[in-house]
Amino acid sequence: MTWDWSVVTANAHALLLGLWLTLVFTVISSAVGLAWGTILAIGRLSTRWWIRWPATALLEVVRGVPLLVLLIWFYFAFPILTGLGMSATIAASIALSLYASSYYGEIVRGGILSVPAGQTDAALSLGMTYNERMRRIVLPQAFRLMVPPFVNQTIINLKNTSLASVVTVGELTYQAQAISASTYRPLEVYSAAAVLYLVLVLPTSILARRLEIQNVRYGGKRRRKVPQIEPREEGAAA
Amino acid sequence: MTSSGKPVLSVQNLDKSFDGRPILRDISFEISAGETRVLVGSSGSGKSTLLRCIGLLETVDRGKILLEDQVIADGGSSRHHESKADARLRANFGFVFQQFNLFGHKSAIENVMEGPVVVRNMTKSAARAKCMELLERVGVVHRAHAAISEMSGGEQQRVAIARALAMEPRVLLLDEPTSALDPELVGEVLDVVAQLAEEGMTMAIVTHEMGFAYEVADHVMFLANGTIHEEGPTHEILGSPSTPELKSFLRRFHYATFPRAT
Repeated sequence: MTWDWSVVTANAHALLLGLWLTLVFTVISSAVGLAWGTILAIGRLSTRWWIRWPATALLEVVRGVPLLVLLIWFYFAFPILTGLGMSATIAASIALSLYASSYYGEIVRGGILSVPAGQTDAALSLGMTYNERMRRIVLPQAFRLMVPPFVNQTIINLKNTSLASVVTVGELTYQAQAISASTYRPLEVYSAAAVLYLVLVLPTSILARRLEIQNVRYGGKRRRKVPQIEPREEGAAA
Repeated sequence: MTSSGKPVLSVQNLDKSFDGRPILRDISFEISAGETRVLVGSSGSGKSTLLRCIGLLETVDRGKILLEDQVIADGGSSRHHESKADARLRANFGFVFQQFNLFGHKSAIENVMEGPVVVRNMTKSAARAKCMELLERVGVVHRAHAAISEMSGGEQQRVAIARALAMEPRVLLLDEPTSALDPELVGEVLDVVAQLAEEGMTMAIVTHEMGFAYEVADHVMFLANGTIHEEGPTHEILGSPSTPELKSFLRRFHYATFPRAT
């Protein structure tokens, strides 16, 4: 077994284009997913059943269907149902965003629920409306609690974009498949793809650690050095 | 410190239950302008729930609450979605919580400014000036820019009092304001409350600090099993309680013998 990296260097532009599209789909699905997920979460916490039930149903359905099925459904089935054809890019964006929103929605809901009830009581007693309470008091504190699970889900999102290759979206995995099929060098090509995914994920992880703000204002703890215990000197008084 | 004039707040035949378990039964009383009223009673007697009902943090099942002549809570009315005007009604009351409940993502001064800026539409600079004055008044102006988690319980509760005062409430409601504090910090908070009583703020206070109640309250209500069991002018009630329940309640605080009312 010999490694021949020339297939990778010769096709670098295709892999980098794939990498770029992977990044684009990650950003789109995370941004749309978080926005829509927040709406779903607030809907699920509504006191009005006619808001709560549809939000819950939508979230459960999207979460309950495998992403691969969702992708294929939007690309192949949706046009048959509605007569509206859509490009692979649009279909993949919708499927990835919806799928992400069902997970972000649960993260946001958990975040909102973990803000102590006393915060809402205090906001109520100042005369704030529901919107003011959510926007100014509850959500800012909920989002802080959500940072670690949010980052985790975003990394999963990034890797999930690889499934869009089945509907011919030219992201990283699709490019790797194409190059591998024409060069018969799956070892080098997929190894390179794996490394490129890591190149995207690792900085995200590092950024995440920074986002977990070490700010006492947000409940973070200042890092303290553990005090060193002085070794007791021989013959010192007890 | 003396009470005078017509009632600011009236509670009429108020009933409240949680999941079918009655908490308050047929409560009626009035608080007049400038009065300091203290609510005492053992745990589970319904005194905190009563305070939360007055502050519109709980709905009432039956009965009415009136602020001056305006009905602000009516157990007979049907449930409807809360309007902005309904939410704004709560700003008539300043509520001070046992656990302070300061907004954790804001500094002390931002906590106090939140109500005036958001609810009263004050400009930030005007609100800042006003709120700095309030922090000065409760003695924590030197901590104005501190994070909440960096302040002691006593400092937090005094910021919470300033936050409530910033809305210029008609009535200040204090729910066990010193129960979560270390004993040596209780005094600094009670001093602020006593000062407010002196200045004529209308207040309803739930507390277990009997010595403080004796000094500051105009009128004391003793709640037991969701009803007002005994009430009257402070020195009469605490000095010579008439029901055995209040006698045994007071005995538990080592305040069985207050100076006799003259």
